[in-house]
Amino acid sequence: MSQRKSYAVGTGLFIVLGFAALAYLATQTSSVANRQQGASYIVDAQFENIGQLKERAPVKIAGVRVGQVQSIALVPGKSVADVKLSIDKGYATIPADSVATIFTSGLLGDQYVGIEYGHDKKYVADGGKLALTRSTQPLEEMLSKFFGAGGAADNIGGTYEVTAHFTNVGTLSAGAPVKMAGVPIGQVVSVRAEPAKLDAVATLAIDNRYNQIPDDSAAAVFTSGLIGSQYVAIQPGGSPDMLKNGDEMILTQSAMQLEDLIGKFLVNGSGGGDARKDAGSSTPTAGKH
Amino acid sequence: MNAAASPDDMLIRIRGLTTVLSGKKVFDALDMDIPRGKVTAIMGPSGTGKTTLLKHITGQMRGDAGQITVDGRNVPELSREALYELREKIGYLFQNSALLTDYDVFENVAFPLRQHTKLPEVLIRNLVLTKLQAVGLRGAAQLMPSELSGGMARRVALARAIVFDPMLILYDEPFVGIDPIALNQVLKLIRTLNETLGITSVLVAHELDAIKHVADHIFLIANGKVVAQGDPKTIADDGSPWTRQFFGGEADGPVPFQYPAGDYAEALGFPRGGA
Amino acid sequence: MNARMANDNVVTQALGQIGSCGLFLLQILAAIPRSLRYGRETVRQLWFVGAMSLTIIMTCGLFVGMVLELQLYHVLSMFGSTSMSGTVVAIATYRELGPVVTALLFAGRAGTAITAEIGLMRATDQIAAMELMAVDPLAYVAAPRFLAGLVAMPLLCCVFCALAVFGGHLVGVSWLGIDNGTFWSNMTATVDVWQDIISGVIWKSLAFGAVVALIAVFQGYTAPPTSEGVAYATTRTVVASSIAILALDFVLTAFLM
Repeated sequence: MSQRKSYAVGTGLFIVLGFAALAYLATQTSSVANRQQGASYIVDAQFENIGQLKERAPVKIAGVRVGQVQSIALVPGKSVADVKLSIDKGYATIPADSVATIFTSGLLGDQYVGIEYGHDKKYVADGGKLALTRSTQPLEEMLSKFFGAGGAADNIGGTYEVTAHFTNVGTLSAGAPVKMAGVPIGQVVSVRAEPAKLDAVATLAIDNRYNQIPDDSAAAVFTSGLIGSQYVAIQPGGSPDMLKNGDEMILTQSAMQLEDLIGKFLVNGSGGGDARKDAGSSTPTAGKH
Repeated sequence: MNAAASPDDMLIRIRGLTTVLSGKKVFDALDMDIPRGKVTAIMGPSGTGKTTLLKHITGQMRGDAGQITVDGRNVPELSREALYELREKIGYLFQNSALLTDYDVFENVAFPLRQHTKLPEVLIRNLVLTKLQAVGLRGAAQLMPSELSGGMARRVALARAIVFDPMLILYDEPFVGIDPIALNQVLKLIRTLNETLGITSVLVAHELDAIKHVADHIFLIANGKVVAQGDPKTIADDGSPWTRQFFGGEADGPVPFQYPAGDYAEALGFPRGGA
Repeated sequence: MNARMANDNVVTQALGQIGSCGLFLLQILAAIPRSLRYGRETVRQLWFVGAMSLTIIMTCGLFVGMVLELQLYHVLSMFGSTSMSGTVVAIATYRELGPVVTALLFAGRAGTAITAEIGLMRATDQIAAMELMAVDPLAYVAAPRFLAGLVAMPLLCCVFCALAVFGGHLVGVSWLGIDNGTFWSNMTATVDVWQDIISGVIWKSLAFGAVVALIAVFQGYTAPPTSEGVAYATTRTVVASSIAILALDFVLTAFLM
């Protein structure tokens, strides 16, 4: 009899262990995971472009990990990403005028938020905000600036489905994300050649939540990192009129061919050292809010 | 006492049983009546299908033709449920005891009770210990089957077979592979169970001396038929060549010494007609 | 009959095995409702089949995770993305290695035990004895072991995967110095509950558990009641299970992913 009971208890333990392992897999290692840490406080920071920053990416001060990214969302009606940083209670003395910057570990590495101390006597409190931020910069933008290839591109968008003409879409294909300030807001529905104009026309489906995009916004084909997949980035314009279903984005910037860039770079010759420096330090453009 | 009793006295009636296994006729229109409340022995040369006959009676095997009526029910036609219901009233003692190796002696004997009843633990305990006492192994209740000798295992199996107080017990070679002491113990148990509980017993065995002590009636089967039957004292006297060979223990006779083979001289490579 | 078997070619024999195995599955499924009253027996089998396999599953899971992480670290360091190594460990384990390796180990540890046990029960007439005690051996012997295999495999696979991730973390973070947060953040950002855990870990291991348990019970049940028959059946359980697991894995991957 006692034999039977011990089987039952052992089997029960086994089943509990199995389910505990499943719960661990599902909650700690998958996208369901929304890990609450011990004692921490939340600080807001808004960025124009978060690039590849992900939830739970580290937050560092002087290279020391002090917390992690809690959530990333788009600020309603604005082309700005709202990032909530969860910072350890042990580091509660961050000056209110500190600067939050999105850095990349190396050229292809993961992105993280670095905080550089300011000089304010006041500290950011729980729920407070770091007003000074610096965004990441897409590699194309840095490269094109560097080569003087005319900063931002030119194009237009709409609310439900909009089209955009590109002279070159690179490897952009249907299903690729459409991003604004680094946050996905829709996807590419189709890419096909336009026989009359001899260029490519891409149809973009943009989420209805984002219907406040000025009609003079630009669409550009960017690459995630050096060898990543391509996506369409929308850079907001200043027009009071918003994009509507069926509109065409006039301002576009085609995909940069890495070969072209490198070719140009080699012909220019002289700029080598600067290029490396710029690319490596992800040239900051102050984005104040 | 030739099988002349009235039909109600017959617990098992077999009529025209015919079974063909891999091309060989094991039973050829076999008829047999086994009386209620008696000890009946089925004997015969090895390979005549005595164990197969027991399997037919319990419905483990089905014949190609014929009827087997056990307690008024025709076994080959029973549904699974009805067959299982019938089997609860039949005890079966296997040649190698067939104790469940996972359980100790107590649980082995308690197994049928646990499966078919919802008796309280106290009652199960009492029933099991009673049966173990009957076979003289109450002290061995906590042993595992691997710790038992062959004779002990057979007595445990017997306790298990009678735990439900069956109306019929089938013994498949109960005397094989045990020493004379254990053999006599089993013999005594078969007799006692038959006399005290009125259980009908059917034995399949070869041991003539043992059978003579215990059986009321003997069937001798060979070539798929009953070739002789009668009580132990008279069966050997019916004069047929089968009984003479079997009970006389002659090496050659209707059961040939030689397994059927081709011409001997030819097999040895001698020219036909002799060397 | 033996002579005819020998004349049959391998394909005919394999097809015959698959066919009778399928019919046996139907018998087991039909016996499952009847086996519910033997719940205790199922629990006992779950102990033998599942809990007793834990040690080997946990050890192997840990080492698979550790070695994967080590290999990936060296390859990914060429691209400066070592922090993705944990993610690759997790995804590779959830989708493929976890279910497949667990199932192979399960076939070797529990499958052979089931085959040998049932084969011996048949050889020593225990199965026949149950029949004669009016206990259906399909419901009492076959179905509980089948159910136990079906339940144990996903649980074992979860434990395997958890240990693999832990092993990867051990090597990656504690030894090679990958950032702890990045390790987890990449993993949680990439691993999807439905795609990777439910359809990878759970569905696959359920299917593998059913296949291994079925083959093991079938081989034991149909083993010739001799010592060499049982030994041969045990070998066949491992061979047939391994082939079935890998073939089924391909089919499932094609359908699920």
